[in-house]
Amino acid sequence: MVEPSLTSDIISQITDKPAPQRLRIVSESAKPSQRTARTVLQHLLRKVSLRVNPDFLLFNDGQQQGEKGVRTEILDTSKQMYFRLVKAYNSVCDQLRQQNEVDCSPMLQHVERTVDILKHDERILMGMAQAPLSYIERMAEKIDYPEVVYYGINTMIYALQIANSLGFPVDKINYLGMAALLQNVGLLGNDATETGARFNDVIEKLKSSTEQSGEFLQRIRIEGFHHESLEAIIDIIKSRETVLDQTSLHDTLQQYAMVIHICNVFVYLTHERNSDRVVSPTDAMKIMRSEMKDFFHPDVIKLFFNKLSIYPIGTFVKLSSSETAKIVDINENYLMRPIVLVVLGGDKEVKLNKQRIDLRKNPNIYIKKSIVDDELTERFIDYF
Amino acid sequence: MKSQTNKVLVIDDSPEIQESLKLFIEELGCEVYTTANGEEGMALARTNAFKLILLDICMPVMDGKEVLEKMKEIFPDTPIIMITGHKNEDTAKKCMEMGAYDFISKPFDFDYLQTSVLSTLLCS
Repeated sequence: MVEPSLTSDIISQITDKPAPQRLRIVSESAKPSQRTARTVLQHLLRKVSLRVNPDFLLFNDGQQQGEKGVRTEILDTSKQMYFRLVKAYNSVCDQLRQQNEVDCSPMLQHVERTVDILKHDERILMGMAQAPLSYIERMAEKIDYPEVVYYGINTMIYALQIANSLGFPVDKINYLGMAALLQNVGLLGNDATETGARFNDVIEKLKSSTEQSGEFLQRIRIEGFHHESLEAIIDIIKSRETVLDQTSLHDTLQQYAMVIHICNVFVYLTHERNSDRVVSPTDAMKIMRSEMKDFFHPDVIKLFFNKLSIYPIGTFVKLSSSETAKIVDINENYLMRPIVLVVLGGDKEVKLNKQRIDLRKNPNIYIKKSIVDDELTERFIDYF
Repeated sequence: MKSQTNKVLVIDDSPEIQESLKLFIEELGCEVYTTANGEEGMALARTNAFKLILLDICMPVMDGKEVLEKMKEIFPDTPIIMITGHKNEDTAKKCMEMGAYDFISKPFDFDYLQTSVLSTLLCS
């Protein structure tokens, strides 16, 4: 318990300090055997009747109250979870190629953690899903099967984001997450081949691993998990005729399969495959729109773009003002008018003042085009 | 899976703008109706299920803001893109506050217009 006489001293000490120092000062003031720094701080605040959000005092890195920046702890948690999942999945892939039985329970834990993080604040993970492969490999480790690991993780993030926003049942959402993560596992049996940029090339590539998916899925063991449901979802994804069946939309497994499939197609179109063909999310939308109407149920298409937007969080755009900006939030139902953070001025000068522009409230500025730039993405990966 | 043709309404008192928008949007696979005034536009909207309305702000008799207000009351879910030759920030903000889906100034950035139109066709 902190001595009352020290309360005012501590408050005055922490007021002008950056967050990490505040935490240290408060932590050092409390008896080690007793409370956490947060509880001590709350006690202090009650003592001096300060009506300040303790989270702001502890974790706010100088951002002004009211700004919707991302808290440091969420930023770090999200990124570290992503990198750990990459490593875990890499390891699982190696084991699946060599062993007849592989424990994938740790991966399920990562799926559950992803669900939690997305519910809390989805922006960093959505931004990580846009991060270039080179950055991920540098921060985590080399990925031997990028179409399985890198694409699988990003497909999972998108699919879970949609599932969360639709209120999918908590006890079912993990199946969707695992299915999204594992649906390309059949590619472990292939030598790496390039995928064409055309929509049909992507569809054919995704179907090509059907038989081998089953072989690898049989080797997976997850404690307490209903394995047959997982295989059923992945079977549906691979089965083009079933995906087209409109009457089966009410079937839960069908819904899951369609959500995963459309996310996977989007990931394939927008992620790096070779240096010549890079498709921006907006271009992916146009491709999918022209090709998808005979392939996906229109409600699923609508759902996908309404939830993930044609300018997904974490992507970069050129504004009509010649500035370059990062998409940091979506105005639901007004997809052309998201909220952006200016990163580069018209003269390419870096902007550090975190100028947020709500394009719905500033209609004279609009998005001229999407930008696909790995260096930009990596440089401003934490910028929210 | 055969999809129905999307119907789009263009309300603009300039015949040239009507024609250029009609041609442009027809290229996107839509059936386009055009009219020069708000009252006719309202009448057309009552008898056709439009997927999207493009609405000029400056029109005689009934201006675009008035049409927007009435359209939003009767067809709250139909996206309306406001088009204007004047970059008046206050007017633009007002239209967005009134529920306009988007706001596009002339001369048109056709790439942007295409994306805006496609986004409504995909997502509404």
